[in-house]
Amino acid sequence: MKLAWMHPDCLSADWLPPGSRAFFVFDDDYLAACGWGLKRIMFVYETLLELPVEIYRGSTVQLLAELAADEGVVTVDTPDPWLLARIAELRERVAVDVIPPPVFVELKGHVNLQRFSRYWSKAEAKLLD
Amino acid sequence: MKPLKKQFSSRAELAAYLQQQFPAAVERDPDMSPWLGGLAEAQRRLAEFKPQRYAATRNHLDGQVSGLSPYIRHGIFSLASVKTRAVAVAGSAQAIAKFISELAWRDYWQRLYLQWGAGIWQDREEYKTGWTTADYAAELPADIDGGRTGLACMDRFSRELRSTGYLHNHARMWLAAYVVHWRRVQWQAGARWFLVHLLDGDPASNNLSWQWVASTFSHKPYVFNRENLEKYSSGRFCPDCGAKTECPFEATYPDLSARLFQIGGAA
Ligand SMILES: Cc1cc2nc3c(=O)[nH]c(=O)nc-3n(C[C@H](O)[C@H](O)[C@H](O)COP(=O)(O)OP(=O)(O)OC[C@H]3O[C@@H](n4cnc5c(N)ncnc54)[C@H](O)[C@@H]3O)c2cc1C
Repeated sequence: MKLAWMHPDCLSADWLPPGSRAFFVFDDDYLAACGWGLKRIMFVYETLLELPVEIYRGSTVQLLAELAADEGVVTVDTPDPWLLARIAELRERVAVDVIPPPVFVELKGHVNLQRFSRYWSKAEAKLLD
Repeated sequence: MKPLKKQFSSRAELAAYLQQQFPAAVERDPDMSPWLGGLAEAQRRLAEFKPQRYAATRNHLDGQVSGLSPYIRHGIFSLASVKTRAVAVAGSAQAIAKFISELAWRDYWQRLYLQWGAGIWQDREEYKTGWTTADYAAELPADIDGGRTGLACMDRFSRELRSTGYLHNHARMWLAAYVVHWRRVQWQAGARWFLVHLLDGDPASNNLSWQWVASTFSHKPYVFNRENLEKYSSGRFCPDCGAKTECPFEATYPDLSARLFQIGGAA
């Protein structure tokens, strides 16, 4: 049974593989890096209370690697450099599947992100269709 | 290692447990917000939201905005699912084009985050204010964080940010412009402050919006005047403001430009 790593960018049961065991880790290093205070922790915690997930405190990689053993980890992709660095470290110890988050708009080829207007000129027709 | 507790009889009991578990976070911010976490609350807000009224009213502090940002920020709802639901309510995507374009801002910032990573903390371009980064203070003045500037509007926004973890988009723009342009503080100091308190605090949406206000990721600095703030807040702040007669926002845009920047032409 795979271990599902629910990180702060994917607090939903929608992506959990059937039968997986889900974990969330409050990592002091992340909390300090993001500057989270009590308001945010409470918001996230309340969200987790509604979800089929076990909540831990500790060092993300160490904890997940121990819990996953040979089964491997599945999680959701994110642009967050702190989370991406943990995914890379985890990969050195166990197999990690990273699934894409739901797509808002599919843009093919090179997308010029220099200004919102450039992005919008490509995205608008698809989004307002 | 034992998992953390999941059964609580009340919010107060949860808060007490978290205070004990996360002392370092309490030091950064000891408050709890009246905003509830969770999917059920997100669904309630989505059901109440009237996307057809968004375009005409969204700039007003009392306007019809969704209040979904913390839920979207944490993946409780995807942008796609919010869009699908709003289109179903309004009948077509065209009918809620403005709302969809605002959802798209988040998608846009997330794409830049993937490209730039921690580079979102650097000035992406130079300030178009005539000042250089070195002319701006590196730290947030304590009176802003403490809600003690003497300006009724800014003090209210500061306290609301701390006590609720949410500010209307226009209030964020006004407060950010005040910090960067009136107080001449580096946008990074304001961005760090927002990220401690906002429930929707997202490094990409937050920092790049601050850079847009500052002009380090836009063609010109964003400024506002008293007339603009009064219009979109129904004049609720000025009557009780101690600085009524010396309002720093009471000016035409050309005058503000001349006063705040070393070049003309900002609006
Ligand atoms: C200085 C500053 C800092 C900001 N920091 C953040 C932040 O940390 N996190 C954040 O989510 N938004 C941020 N914003 C953008 C915007 O203010 C909030 O997303 C919006 O006010 C949230 O309220 P709402 O959910 O009612 O928005 P609505 O107007 O109902 O919009 C619906 C959704 O679209 C997205 N959205 C709307 N406008 C924007 C925008 N300009 N940029 C990015 N996404 C947008 C949000 O996910 C929002 O929930 C910031 C804006 C400024 C000016």
